[in-house]
Amino acid sequence: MQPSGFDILREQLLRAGIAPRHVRRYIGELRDHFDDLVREEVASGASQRVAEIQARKRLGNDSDLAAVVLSRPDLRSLTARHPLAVFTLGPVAMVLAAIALGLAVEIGVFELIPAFVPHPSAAQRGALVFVVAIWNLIATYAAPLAIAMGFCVVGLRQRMPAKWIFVGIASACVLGAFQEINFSDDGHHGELSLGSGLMPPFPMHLIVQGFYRFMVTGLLASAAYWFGTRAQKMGETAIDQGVLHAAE
Amino acid sequence: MGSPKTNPNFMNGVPELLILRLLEEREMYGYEIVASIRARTEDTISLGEGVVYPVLHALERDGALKSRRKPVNGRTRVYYTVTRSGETRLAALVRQWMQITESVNQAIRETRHATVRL
Repeated sequence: MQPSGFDILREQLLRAGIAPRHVRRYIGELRDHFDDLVREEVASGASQRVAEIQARKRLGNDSDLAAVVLSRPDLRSLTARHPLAVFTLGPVAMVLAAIALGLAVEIGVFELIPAFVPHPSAAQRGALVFVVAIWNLIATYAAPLAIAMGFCVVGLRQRMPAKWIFVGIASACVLGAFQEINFSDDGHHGELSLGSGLMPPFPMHLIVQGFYRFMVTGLLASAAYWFGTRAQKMGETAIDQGVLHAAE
Repeated sequence: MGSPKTNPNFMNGVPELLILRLLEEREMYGYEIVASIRARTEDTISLGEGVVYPVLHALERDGALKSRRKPVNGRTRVYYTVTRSGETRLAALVRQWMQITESVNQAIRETRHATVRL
């Protein structure tokens, strides 16, 4: 894979903490400008190759183009400016919000059911318990995993150091793993309960289950990190080869 | 790869002033802005052309410019225009620039007179 003309600049800006949206826009406009300059040079008689070299010179070298962006701290992403807050408070807030949202939806559905099915049969009650159990698994199992992976993707996109990405993954996985939403139905009335292995009285079954879930979600999110870094390294190798090629 | 010769020390605030002045007349995209600066200043002001974009983005973030994407000949270009706040900023920048140039000119004139007297 050959890198395009601005891949090195893009990497430089991302590694310096510039928000990806600013980098994307800057590179996009530079590319358009480069195309316009090439057309202008070709129109004035230069060959395509010479026109491209001239256009790149006129645009400015990578260090000049990077310096003008790096001199503006307001273009740095929130994650680059406050990594501790983003990768600890962010996952915690999102996991708690996912659990709260899961509970709110359930309670809302329970409130609505009597209006549509005033006297549910045993089979209908069984089906409800099954659906709610799946929903609870999504809220306490899948959502924290998705949040952990989300922070992994954000961290990789913004070229954050691995330690911050793993802080994010761990925060989401630990908090998510030790919570449990449970719905039981004895045939007469249902009971919705929320338990935590991280709060007194520290129920042993939630702690054991939490460790197991933490291992599973943590491993899955770490695997996502591994695949992400691998893909990124392949891109970087191509860029490095491009730099060597250009130097030759 | 060598970069074009620039004059960065005296350029602080100047690209901003020139950009606002040009965009006050009509909306333009980056390449047009740079070409207009070169034409208007007869190549006296020489910038690495790509340097104009962070200035444009900063002005937009400050509310002095607004941008819109416009398809032209099968390509989408980002056009910039000055806002009301940008016009006010331009007026302030022009006043500031006039004061600076007047002061510098006066200093040069006084130095010349002093040299002649000596």
